[in-house]
Amino acid sequence: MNPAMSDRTERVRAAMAQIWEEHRDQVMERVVFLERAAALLEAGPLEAGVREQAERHAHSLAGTSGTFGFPRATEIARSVERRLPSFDQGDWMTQAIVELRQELELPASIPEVAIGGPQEVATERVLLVVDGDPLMLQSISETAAPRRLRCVTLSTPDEAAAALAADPYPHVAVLGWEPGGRGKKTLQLAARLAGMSPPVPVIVLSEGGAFTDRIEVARLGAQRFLPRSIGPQRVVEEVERLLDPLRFDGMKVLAVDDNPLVLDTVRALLEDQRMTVDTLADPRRFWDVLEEKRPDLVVLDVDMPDVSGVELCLVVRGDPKWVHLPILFLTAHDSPEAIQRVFAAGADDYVAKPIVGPELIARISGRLERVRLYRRLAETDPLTGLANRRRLVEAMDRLTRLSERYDKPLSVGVIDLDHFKAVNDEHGHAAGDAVLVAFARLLAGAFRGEDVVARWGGEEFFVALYGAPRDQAARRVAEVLKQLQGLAFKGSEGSFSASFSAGVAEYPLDGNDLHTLYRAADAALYDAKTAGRARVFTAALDEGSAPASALPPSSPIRVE
Amino acid sequence: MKKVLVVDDEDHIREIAATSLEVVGGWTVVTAGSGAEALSKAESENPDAILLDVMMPEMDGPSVFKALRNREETRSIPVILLTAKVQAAEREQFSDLGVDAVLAKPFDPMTLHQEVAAALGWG
Repeated sequence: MNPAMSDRTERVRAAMAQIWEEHRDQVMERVVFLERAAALLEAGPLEAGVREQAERHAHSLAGTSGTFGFPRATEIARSVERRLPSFDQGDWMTQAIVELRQELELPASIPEVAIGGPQEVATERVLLVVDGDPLMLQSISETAAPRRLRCVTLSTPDEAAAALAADPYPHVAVLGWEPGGRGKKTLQLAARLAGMSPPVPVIVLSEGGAFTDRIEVARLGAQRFLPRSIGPQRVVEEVERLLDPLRFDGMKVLAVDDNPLVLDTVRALLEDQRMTVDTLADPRRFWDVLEEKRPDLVVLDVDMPDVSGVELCLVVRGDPKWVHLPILFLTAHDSPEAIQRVFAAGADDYVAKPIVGPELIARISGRLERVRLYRRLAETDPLTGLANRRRLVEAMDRLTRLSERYDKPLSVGVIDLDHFKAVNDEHGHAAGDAVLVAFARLLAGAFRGEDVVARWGGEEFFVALYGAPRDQAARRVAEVLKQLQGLAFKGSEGSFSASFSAGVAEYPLDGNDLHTLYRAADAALYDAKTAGRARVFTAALDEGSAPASALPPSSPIRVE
Repeated sequence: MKKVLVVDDEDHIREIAATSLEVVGGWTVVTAGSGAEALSKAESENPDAILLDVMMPEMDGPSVFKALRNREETRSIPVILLTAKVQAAEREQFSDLGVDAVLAKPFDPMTLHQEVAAALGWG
């Protein structure tokens, strides 16, 4: 910061401190009012007038505290404001106001250098988990911990209802539910969470999955219904999906309208959702821009000079390459004839002008969610749920770039199940599939984070380990081999065990792209097979493959 | 030099906004503590922009804005609403009124002038 700027910053800072000192009492009067209201609330619902005044005071504190260096006070006041209309009893408010007063009595925390906007998004997300099974609570909590999710685990809906009164306000909730009388309170809790402002997304975990149960849960506003058997990993994945503010990150929308004001509005709304927005005011350039930008969704104005939106839509639908592109119309006429005309041209949806922000966002997000889902399906191996080769190509591209930029090692392993054909022949294809699925699960559990696990095809798998040099990667793959050999599978001819052979290569020593790395690792794999299977070899620079260096050369990693 | 009218019923917020815009932004600032005062100052001071708090007793921000737009003398002055509402939907309502921008409260005194300048396209 230059001297003039830092001098000005100092002056503002001094002014903040001084103004705060002068007006502190006035601000604290609001706190006193809230304290009184909180005491009343413990006894029962507030009179409408008192409640409204309390809301106003909380609102004002929320809007001002942060400016003077009390961001936490802003959060607390905001949560009080939000809850006042619906939580009409209890001591939640007393607790909150005690904390609010404490915050405001602390010295202001004014950042040294002003960074970012006035509303920094809190990075830690709070996950509320309510379930009668302590093991479930523990396993979800452990899975969530490394993902910047703070778990509040409680065993009954009553406890949760009490906890909701106190901060922290959960960002998302997972509720264990059993249909029937005992589940009533859970449903009430779900309804309450869904009715909060902003609504807390709810995931319901349930033993059954009857259609009527699902409807009951969906009616209350719950977002997901998952079987209890699904496992903590998948539950946390769903949690992340619901929370992810970046879920539309990088998804591309092209908006075409001859009115620049509309384009600006659409852009502002969608960029707020982290979508990438391209706008075009001249429909005659549409085709070029479409080919160049390759959007995931197109927004078209119906009435434009030269070429109308309906005509553009017809052109898009006339090209097999773009048949699946979602198209949403903006229309000033929502007469049945006009609407029929856009749908007949191949529109997926329409939004009437003037644009209402939340509606536009809801409609576009819904479409993009679907696009993402299809894309994911197309990149996922249906049997094992692992990435398929298509996604692998993309992921390797990313990992090699990361490896270069941060100068970190990157190794890949090609893994092939031993005697897999014999398993299929002797024990049947169902048993073979079971081995593939179990093995995929082992792999997915063994490698995390930046690592990539994919099914290459048939009984061949591919892993990429970011941050691991060749030898270390080989040791980790050998660990999985040990685990696999510990599993017993049931087949038509009795139980059997499985093993694999693997070759490991390092970027860029053994190859500088997926293709050459695969070849190097595959050569090592071949050597591992001919050396007797059930072992991991590393690619060696000159003299062919070497047994994984974790063990002396005479005894390749091998577990019987 | 730009002249900005800051309207907020809360003294401390008005003062810190004024200080921030004067010291950091180098602008001239006039202030008003109520909607009525805002309307008269908008006319007498003829500011380049008005920063208007949404929630004020008697005459709230949106009503002040409508009144400003209904008067010939003040019709063309750019207006920025300041609101502590966090929901996108709530803020949307305000921009639908036709104001030039909606800024969030609490604001950061160090960057308020940048946000105002950016919202109004002041170079």
